[in-house]
Amino acid sequence: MKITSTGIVTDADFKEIEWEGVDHGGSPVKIKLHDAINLGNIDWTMAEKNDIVQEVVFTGCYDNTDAIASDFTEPWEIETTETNSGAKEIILGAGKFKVGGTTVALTRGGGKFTSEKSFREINADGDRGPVKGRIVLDGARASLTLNALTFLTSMDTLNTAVNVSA
Amino acid sequence: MKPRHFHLLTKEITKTMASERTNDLKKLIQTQLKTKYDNVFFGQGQQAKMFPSVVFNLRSVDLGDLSRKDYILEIDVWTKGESTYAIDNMTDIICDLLQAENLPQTTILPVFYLIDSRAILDEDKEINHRLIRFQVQLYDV
Repeated sequence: MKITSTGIVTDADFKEIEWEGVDHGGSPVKIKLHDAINLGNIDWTMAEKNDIVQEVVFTGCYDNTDAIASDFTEPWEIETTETNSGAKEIILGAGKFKVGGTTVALTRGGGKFTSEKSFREINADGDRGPVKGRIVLDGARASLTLNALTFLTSMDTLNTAVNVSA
Repeated sequence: MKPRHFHLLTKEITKTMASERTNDLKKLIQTQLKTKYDNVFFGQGQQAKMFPSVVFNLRSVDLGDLSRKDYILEIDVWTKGESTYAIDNMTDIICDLLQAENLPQTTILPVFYLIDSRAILDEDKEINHRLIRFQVQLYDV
């Protein structure tokens, strides 16, 4: 097996990423990123007595074919089959990461889901702080981070512009 | 509109349910262990007569989270014989049975996390003894 870098981003680099967990009530909780791409770097630390863990950060991408964006829906969703309340709706930290519906790798150190929003406050003279009606959401980036422990055979699945050949 | 005593009543019911959490947890663990082994006991003593046997105990602990009532579950496993093959298998089976299991019940919401398992030396060299410990993170419903 040989792993090489193609140097070009193709449509195949955009994948459906999913974290599948469960709440205390036992209902599945799924966090999905649509058309997600790994915009992170390959950054391996080799240290004696330590396994190599690769941090993989997938960022969800918008699908805007128009020159000017008309669809503001962020490229993520959270899905639960049952609406629990109280302690039942507390989500457990353990779960599986899936790429295109297939569980990808053993993970260590868990993961992270973030939706990073950039707000702009339209200020006017005399404002004491943020003013209702004058706050604009300029953009948002959604990402799912996982720490992969077994990644050698799925280098092309987990990384962008990487090719695995026999 | 709800009668004034309604809240008091619901509080009382919740309190009753919550106070049975140790017994409910005991029942759940008993049922789980019984799916693998016949001789499952809570407490002490009974294991002396039967091999293999599984005895479990619960210890309530405070991990600083007010909303959660956590327990340490200690499972003692005994077998008889010179080989430790059977007891190591039993230990693995019990660890796999409960490790990271989320088992929501009507009154309690427990999750089990393995702490450790170790061998305990017995005076009788024919008796093999293992102690398995789990942290049980528990919320009341």
